[in-house]
Amino acid sequence: MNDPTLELTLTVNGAAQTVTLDSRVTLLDALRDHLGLHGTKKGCDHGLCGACTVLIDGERRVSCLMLAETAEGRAVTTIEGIARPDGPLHPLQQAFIDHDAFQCGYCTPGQIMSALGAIAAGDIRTAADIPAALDNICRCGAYDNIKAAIASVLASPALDVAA
Amino acid sequence: MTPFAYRRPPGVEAALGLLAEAPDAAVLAGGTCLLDLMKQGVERPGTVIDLNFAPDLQGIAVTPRGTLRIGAATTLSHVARSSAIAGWPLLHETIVDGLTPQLRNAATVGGNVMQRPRCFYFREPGFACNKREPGAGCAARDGVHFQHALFGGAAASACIAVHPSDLCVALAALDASAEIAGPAGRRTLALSELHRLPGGDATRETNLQPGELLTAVDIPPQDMRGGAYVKGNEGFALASCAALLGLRDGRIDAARIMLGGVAHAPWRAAAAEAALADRQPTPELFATAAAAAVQGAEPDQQTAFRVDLVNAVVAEALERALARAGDRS
Repeated sequence: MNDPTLELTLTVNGAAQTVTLDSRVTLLDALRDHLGLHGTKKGCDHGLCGACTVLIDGERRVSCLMLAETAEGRAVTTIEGIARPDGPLHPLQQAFIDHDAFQCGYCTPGQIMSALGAIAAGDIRTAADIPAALDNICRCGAYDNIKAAIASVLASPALDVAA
Repeated sequence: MTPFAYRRPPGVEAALGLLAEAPDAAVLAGGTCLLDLMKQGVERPGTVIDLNFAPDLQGIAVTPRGTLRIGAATTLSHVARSSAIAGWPLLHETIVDGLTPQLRNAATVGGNVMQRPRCFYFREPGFACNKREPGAGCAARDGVHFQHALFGGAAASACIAVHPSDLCVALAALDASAEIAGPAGRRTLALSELHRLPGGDATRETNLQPGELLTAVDIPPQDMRGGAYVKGNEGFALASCAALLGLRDGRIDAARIMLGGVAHAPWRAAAAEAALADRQPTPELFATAAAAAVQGAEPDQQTAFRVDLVNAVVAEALERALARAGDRS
């Protein structure tokens, strides 16, 4: 039968949740509209801007071009999942505040998730690596402060994100 | 998107069975092309076959004969990071030049080979498009087409869109072949024969038959070392060149020059290759080859600037390829 409804178990920020979704729902829309996680933003919805970046098994991907069902069985990490459960912001989140690295804030979760994925993958070892590694658009033009924020945490030992 | 049934085959044989059952099915790998086209209403499959759960489509390894075999659903980032590609340095450069890091983690080798053009008239169903609907006409011809085909009979063709892949240009230069599975069994097709020129029928970009699936890409061991990929712009290529040179006793004894972003398929610059044969490499020789590379181009007022761009990327790719070729004597 061509029933487009699926029952899926998605593991997001360490928690497994079962949802019933139309097969057309992207991971981005599943996170925002079905799981109440609004931190991941919809920028272009066509994979070009990076605002919807999340980590899939620790690797950064644009969630707007991923069907929710393809994420089944994989660990999804969103911006909501990187701060310590007991309170303090993730060092990179704090660095974005300390370095005034956002204006409207819309690209910010994607910038942070993209940076964390890049650092974990070894794509950013020094500040000089940041421009080539990042590729997230910031329409407000906060790039200089974004780079400064990321550069400031590169020496930090506490960058691992909770899967 | 139109509604679809979602299927998750555990392997190639199951995927083939699903393709045979549902002629309007589409296969999903990274989703960076298909999902975009589905959002635009250009692709409207009744069934989506998710290839991400089939282990026999994954992997990268060098065979005992020295061939690099890459499973079609292997991500480009996995390929770029793999030590297996050390013998094919052109691959790393092409992949990193071709996509953003997020897309490299999603996009697959097979999907990149099978991707569809970026022409905005193709991607917007409100416009006349011979690719979407044979005989409907080509809105790009009368519209904005500065990034469309320079080669391949563009003037008389049903479609003037170009193949957008960077990786395919390198794969063609490296003499790669495609492993294909289908209802009639398995077959191998040279990559240079996989992509097709539209002629009068623009509906398909490849010679894959209905019910067939690209399962792997094979790249043979290379006689020419190094190689270079140069793109004339950021993003999808307005003109690009993959060049490989073989040197012996200070003379060029082998050359391969492929152009990207200029035709419905990766384009071989055969006249440019011939201009290099048995010659000593000099900037003047490379300028002659670059000029030969634009022979046969059919520019118009919008695309004319790209002729110079082709010339420039060929000259630069040859210089870089020379620096990496070493001498095999």
